[in-house]
Amino acid sequence: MKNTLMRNMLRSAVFLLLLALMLSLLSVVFRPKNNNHDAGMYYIMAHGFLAERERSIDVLILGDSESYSSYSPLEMWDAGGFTSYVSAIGGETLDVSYSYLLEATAHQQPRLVIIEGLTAVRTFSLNHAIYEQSALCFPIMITHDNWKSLTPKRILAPIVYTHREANKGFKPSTETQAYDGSDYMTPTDEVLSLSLLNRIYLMRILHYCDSRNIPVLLVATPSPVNWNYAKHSILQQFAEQNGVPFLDLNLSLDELGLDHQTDWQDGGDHLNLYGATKLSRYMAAYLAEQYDLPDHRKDSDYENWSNALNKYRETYPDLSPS
Amino acid sequence: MIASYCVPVYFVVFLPLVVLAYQVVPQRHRWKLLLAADYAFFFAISGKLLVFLLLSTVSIHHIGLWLGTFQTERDLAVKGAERSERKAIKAAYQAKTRGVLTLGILFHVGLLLVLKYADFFGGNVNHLLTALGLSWQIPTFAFAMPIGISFYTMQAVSYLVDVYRGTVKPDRSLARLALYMSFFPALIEGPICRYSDTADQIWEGRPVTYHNLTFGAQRILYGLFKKIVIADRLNPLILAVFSNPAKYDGGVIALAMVCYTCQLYMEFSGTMDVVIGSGEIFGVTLPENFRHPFFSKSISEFWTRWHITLGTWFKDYIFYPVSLSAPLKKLTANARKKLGNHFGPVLASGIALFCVWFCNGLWHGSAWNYIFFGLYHFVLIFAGNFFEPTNKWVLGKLHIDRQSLPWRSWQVLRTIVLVNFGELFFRAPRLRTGLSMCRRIFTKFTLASFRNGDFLVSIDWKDLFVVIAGVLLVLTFSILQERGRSIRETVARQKLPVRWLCYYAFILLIVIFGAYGKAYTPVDPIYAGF
Repeated sequence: MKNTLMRNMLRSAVFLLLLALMLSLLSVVFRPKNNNHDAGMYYIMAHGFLAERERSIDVLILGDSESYSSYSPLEMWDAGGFTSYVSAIGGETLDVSYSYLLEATAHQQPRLVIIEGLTAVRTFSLNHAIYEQSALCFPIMITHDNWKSLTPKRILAPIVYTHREANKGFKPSTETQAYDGSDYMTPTDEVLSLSLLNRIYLMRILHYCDSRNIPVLLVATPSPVNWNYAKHSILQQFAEQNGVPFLDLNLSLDELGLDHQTDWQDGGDHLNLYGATKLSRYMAAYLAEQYDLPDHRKDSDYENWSNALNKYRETYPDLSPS
Repeated sequence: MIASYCVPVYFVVFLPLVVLAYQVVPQRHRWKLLLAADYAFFFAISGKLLVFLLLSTVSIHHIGLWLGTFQTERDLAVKGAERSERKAIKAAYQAKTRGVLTLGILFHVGLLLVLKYADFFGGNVNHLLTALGLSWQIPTFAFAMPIGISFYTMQAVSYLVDVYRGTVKPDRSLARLALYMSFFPALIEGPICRYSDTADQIWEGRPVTYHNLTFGAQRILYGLFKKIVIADRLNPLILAVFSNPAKYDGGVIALAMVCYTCQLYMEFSGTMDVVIGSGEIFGVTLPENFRHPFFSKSISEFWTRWHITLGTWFKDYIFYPVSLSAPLKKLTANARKKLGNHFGPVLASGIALFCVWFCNGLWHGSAWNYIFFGLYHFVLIFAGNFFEPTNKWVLGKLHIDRQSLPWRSWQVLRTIVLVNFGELFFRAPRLRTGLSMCRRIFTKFTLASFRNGDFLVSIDWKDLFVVIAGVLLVLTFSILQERGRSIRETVARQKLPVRWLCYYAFILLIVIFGAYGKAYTPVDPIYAGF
């Protein structure tokens, strides 16, 4: 009886081990060999850091649509001389941010990781987290749909990431729709709590960054539609409990110089290009002052950043600093 | 959080954890663990609405005992009474037990009606008032529904009726009834279990054997294949066409109709495979809900193969009670005299049949398209029964052998087409949309979209290829099973490398060709909404 049980357990273990091996092998086969759409890469803009020169990104920004609408890495380069990349997708949750953090740090060695406040408080299901975790172990869970374009040539092709995002993960919008609501950051006694999953993933991110000596900064970018004082409070509480700095830009709209009439693209949900420019310049100064970030503007290895900035200025001439 | 059996949190976390804990716990305590798992599962989906399930459980326990007390009293009274008095005693107790049963049924069905249909009925009453030119409107309410209420309410009613009929002894154990009402694998989408079939099995706490574990896991895997590879892959096309049918010609709408029928079958029967496989792991044999329905030669037969537990429930608790009621028996006798031995009973039983199909339609949802769906099947089945002699006569005159392959194939094809049109109304967002889609199939039918490739709405050729290959695989398994072959037994008889190869192939088919992940919108289980 005991022998049968042991034999069955051993057999099950071997079965699972072989399955894991097959999934790992298939993950290699299905892996996109480039970071563009044709190669089967998902969320290309968020994966643009793959085509940046290794260890060339100083600040990694993880978040959602608030992040890719608010931070302009080229503007921050111009103002502060450090490089940054916004790895963000719409409605991103912390489990996805964690995956992107791991993926990015396999190529880059950022000196700072910024986590979007709204992403930090956005709830997600255990189911979602299990899927993301399984995809971390076996990337085929994400790339399995590449069977549609898989050829022997593709399988054997070397991995070369060529798709470089012109705006480094920033998605500028010149649309303008004023925010005509009231002050949305009035202090309240409303107490919310951070969900267990959010807490777990924030801790995972903090521990991972800590193990690699990367400081983490929580930043809530302005968004009257999505943010409020209750959210500020829960994140503030978490930040204090875990000794992580938290910057809520929703409380500093005047310092940023945001104009509710001109700086929103969709009535207070996301900043437009003009609002993002103000925020990016503010953040560049803040980060340069608070963190040990290098100034690469005179470094020839970073010439492509200066070239990218020139193109950016040509595309949006009215944004040039006076 | 869970709300479906085909999501990782169920088959990767919840089920394995419960199985592990169940196996570790001593047999006499296993029921406690299962009950805790059942309620945790329910709570994870419906939260505080768990109170409704508890209420139903306590009420059937109490009413069952009440019925039992009357039955014991009756038996004692009959035993000690004179022969001439026995009939009167029985009648008196019959009235009492019937009253208690009616109370129990009214409570459960009433709860279901209020929670599920209050909004629908209120809305329709208000439409009627408006149509009558009255400005007065009644207030309407939409309540949050506990998960699986349509399923566990039917289990509750079947238990009460079975106790009333004396086919089941009232259970003194509240815990056993609670397990019967809430067994987590069958909670969201059924099958609708009978107390006599499952209560003891769940209660016993049978050990998890290697055989049950592997066979159950294989059944779960097969279900996931049907759901994730076939049903979910068809979803984008179905969603696009049914959301905006006016954009498409009749050919594309007909294709979407066929795809939806395929999706519904693969989704529901696939989920049932996961459910029954889960039960199998715990040594519980849950009733089958599907038996290859698309091999049916008539709509009547189809409904003995599709959602079997719902069909048998309606047969046992609506059709028979209505057709065996005194007024209907009288009507049948009169009709038989006037219309003959065929048409008389068929016409009379049509009333019971109507009740069944009206309730069947309404059970599926609080909307007119579901009622139409039920009545559509009523008309088809009634017409099939009514014209049976005519049909026989015509076939005889044309010298068509009813057992010949071409005729049987035609019957199967005809049934499939009729079922497809029924499902069109089932899926349509509104009855009016269903009618308009049906009209477009006949008035705007063209193959132009198929020639130029426009029929591939929101999916591509490769998706279609996967679906067709998947359907062919399921069809092959179905044919083998229909011929009495057990696929799992056949695989189990093979040598280990062959067996493992089969398992790996199936797992990898799901991993690679499954419609899940970043490029797909998760599809909610269709029947969980009922």
